[in-house]
Parts: sequence; C-alpha cells; structure tokens
Amino acid sequence: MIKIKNIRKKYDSTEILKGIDLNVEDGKVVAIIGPSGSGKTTFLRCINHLESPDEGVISIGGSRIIAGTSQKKDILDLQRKTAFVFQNYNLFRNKTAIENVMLALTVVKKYSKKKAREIAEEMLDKVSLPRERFEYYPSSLSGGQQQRIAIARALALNPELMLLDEPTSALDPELVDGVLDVIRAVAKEGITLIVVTHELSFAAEVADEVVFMDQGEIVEKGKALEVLRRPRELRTKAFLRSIQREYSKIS
Amino acid sequence: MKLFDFAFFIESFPKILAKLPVTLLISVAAFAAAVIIGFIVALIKIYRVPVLQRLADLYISFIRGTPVLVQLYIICYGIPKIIYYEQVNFNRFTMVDVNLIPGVIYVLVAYSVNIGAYQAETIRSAIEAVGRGQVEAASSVGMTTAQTMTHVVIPQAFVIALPNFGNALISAIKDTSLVFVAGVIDILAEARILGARVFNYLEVYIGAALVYWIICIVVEVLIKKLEEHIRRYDRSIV
Repeated sequence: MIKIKNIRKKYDSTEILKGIDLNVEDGKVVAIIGPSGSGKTTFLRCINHLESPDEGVISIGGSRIIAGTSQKKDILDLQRKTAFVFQNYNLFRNKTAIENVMLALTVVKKYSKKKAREIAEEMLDKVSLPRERFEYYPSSLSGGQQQRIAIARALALNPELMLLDEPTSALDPELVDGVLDVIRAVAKEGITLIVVTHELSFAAEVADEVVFMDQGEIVEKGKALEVLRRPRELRTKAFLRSIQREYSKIS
Repeated sequence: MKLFDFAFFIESFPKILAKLPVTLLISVAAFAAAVIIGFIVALIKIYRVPVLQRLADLYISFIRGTPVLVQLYIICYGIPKIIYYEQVNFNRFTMVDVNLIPGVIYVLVAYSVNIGAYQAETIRSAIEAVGRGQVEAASSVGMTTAQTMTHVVIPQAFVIALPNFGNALISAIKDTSLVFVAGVIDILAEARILGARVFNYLEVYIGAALVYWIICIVVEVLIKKLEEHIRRYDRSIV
C-alpha cells in the first residue's frame, strides 16, 4: 500500500503543489492526467524525492518519509523501493544497453556480474530489445529502444512502485505503441504503477484509477472509465473536451 | 665568425635531449596532482560548500592574476622560510634540513597549485556538462552520490575534459621551462649551461626549442589517439 499525504511544494513564492493526497493499493495502476503546468510531474518527482517536498508524508511498504525531517539514508531507502522512468529516458551514456540495466544491480544490490547479467538479459528480453542491440551504446539506439531499456533498468530492481513520467512524450509517433505495449505488460505483472500521461486511450485501457490534476491540486479522482467518460467536475470536462478537440482535428 | 655553429649544435643537442625526462617528469607529475586539486576545488564549487567556496574563488583568482614565475619565487622562498621559522621558534620540523630539500619539490608544489587552479574550471564545467538527467536517473535507482560520481559522472566528465587536459599538459610542458629559478636542471637550464661555456647561445636555444616542439607534437598525437579510443561510446559528439 502506498500512502501519500498532504504533499506541498513551493518554488520561490509560487505554490506548485497545494496539498496532494493519494493512496494506491498494491498492484494497481494510477494514471495522472492534467494540463501542462498542473504540477503532475513535480508530484511524481516528489514521490521518490528527486524533488524534496516542503511538507507531507510518503509511505511505501515499510519506508516512511516525513518531509523536512528525513535523513539521507531514509531517502535512499525509499528510492531503492521505487523506480522512475523519465520522459527523456536518461540512460547512462557511457554504458551499453545491458550495462545500463546491470549497473544498479552490481553497485546497489551488490550482485555478482554474472547474476546481474542474467537478470539484465531477462529484463531486456521482456521489453523486447533485440539481442544484437544489447551491447550498443544509447547514442546509437532509437528513442523507443532507449525508453524500453530505461523500463528494463527500472524493472530489474524489482521495485514496489514504478513511477513513469510521460514515458512516450519524447518519442516519434511511430515508436509510441511499442513502448506502451511494454508498459501494458508491466502493468499485468502486478507492479504498482503511477503514470503521468497524455495518452488518454492508454489510460482508459490500462489504469485502474485516473487522477486529474490542475493548478497544483487533485480536482477529481476515481475509476478510470468514470473519470474519463463521465467526469463530474467542470475543469475535468473542459480538459477532456480540449484534448478530444485536438483528436478530432486529425481524424 | 659563423652565424650558426652546426658542429656545436650537433654536439650539444643530445645533452639537451637527455634532460627531457626531467621536464616530462615535472610536467606530468604536477599535472596529475593538479587534476586532483582541480577535482576537489570543482566539487567545492559545484556543491557550494560554505566558506571553502570563498577560499576556492580566492585561490583561482590569485593564481590566474599573478605570473607563474612570481608564484614559483613565492614557493621557493616561502616554504624554506616557513620551515625555518617553525624550527627556530617552535622547535617543529627539526628532522628537515632546509638546505637539503631538492628544488624539484618546490617546483612540483608550485606547478601543481598553478595548474590546479586552471583545471578546476575545466573539471567543473565537464562535470556539469554530463547533465542532471543522468544524475537523477542514478539516484532513482538508489545509487549514492559517490557511486553516481564514480560510475556515471566521472567517466563522462573525463572524456569531455580530455581535449582541455591535452592542451593543459602541453602548456605545462612549456611552462615548466622556468624551473631553473629553483635550481632544477631541465631542458632549458641545460641549454643555458652549455651555451654559457662557449658563449654560443643561439644553437643551444634552438636545440631546446626543437626538443619542446617535438615532445609537444608527440603528446598532441597521443591525446588525439586516446580521445578517439575513449569516445567510441558517443558517436554523436566527435
């Protein structure tokens, strides 16, 4: 069970997050949607302390972090229970595909090289990276392949919670589906996921719950299909309508 | 009278060349120490360590704003004087005989401190050029700051800094031609000595210039090769 209470974050005098509460049951998939600037990425980054919140409590499994009072060690402990997938992949550029997945296994989990390699191979197979690409450096791989490696890197740590920040936004359109397929498969394995996404149809299909954020607060949350199909709040309706309008323009 | 005494040139050249190891040893050792100093100073500046950050700025400003020859004089006269002062007034460092400290020690200290100040900025910008993204990724997989540094940041920062390191090493080789002030006999000091014997300086100075020139070309080629080898992971920046 993941419990997040009253997360607040300010930059200078601007309030980015105005007290966010979110509980996620184990194995559930939560999609966070909302207009840009609504604070959804900041919220996600606060969950694993890439950004430290000014206030709030985060508990994941046995770890509990209270903003402002927690030690470096506790934060590291929390980060080791979570994994993060970035919009821009952020692979280690000096490591090959397989080394990217292995690094945390050997350095953080202290596994032997051999064991780390076995796990890394299994993970890269899972995200269907072709075997002949295992020894390639990120600079010679496509965005879709890089993002799949990033997902494998996250999966390898066997996290209790995986956070994905707009994992397909930086990809060329033809590569989006492949990455979504991988995330779909991860969701089926029962890892708890929180995904910030603009892919509403993907959210409708994969997420158990959808959270709509606007201006630093949660406006509406509930079962995915209810929020997406029968939103109660005006702001949610307006947001969904604006996105649909974009859709209908192309189709 | 001859404009250029070729026989004398041929005779003295090998003697000048024989001092190449001295020059190389001083420049390479001082450069290596400078990289360590520069790295520490760079970390102080990146992590904005209070107090030390101010001292780091002061250090860089002083070294950049004064001639290396003056810095050499300060070290060569300052260190023995401090040791002597301590011995006389406080009875400390009594095992050291100030007159027996070899000049090369002063020279190494002076050049390490000098080059370190310049390399601090190179190293700082190289570390920052690796980018926040990868550092965040490392912390998201639970790596500590030290682990992130050793496995992700330093290897890439090194590659980014390499061209600058190459230039700095070449500068160091040339800049150490001032070490005669500490009584160290390097390429140029040897040339002076040989020239003084027969009052024929042009030949020996040209000989010294040739030695410097050749070694600098060799170093340049070696650094290029190293760079090509080490950059194989990054096809996008070549």
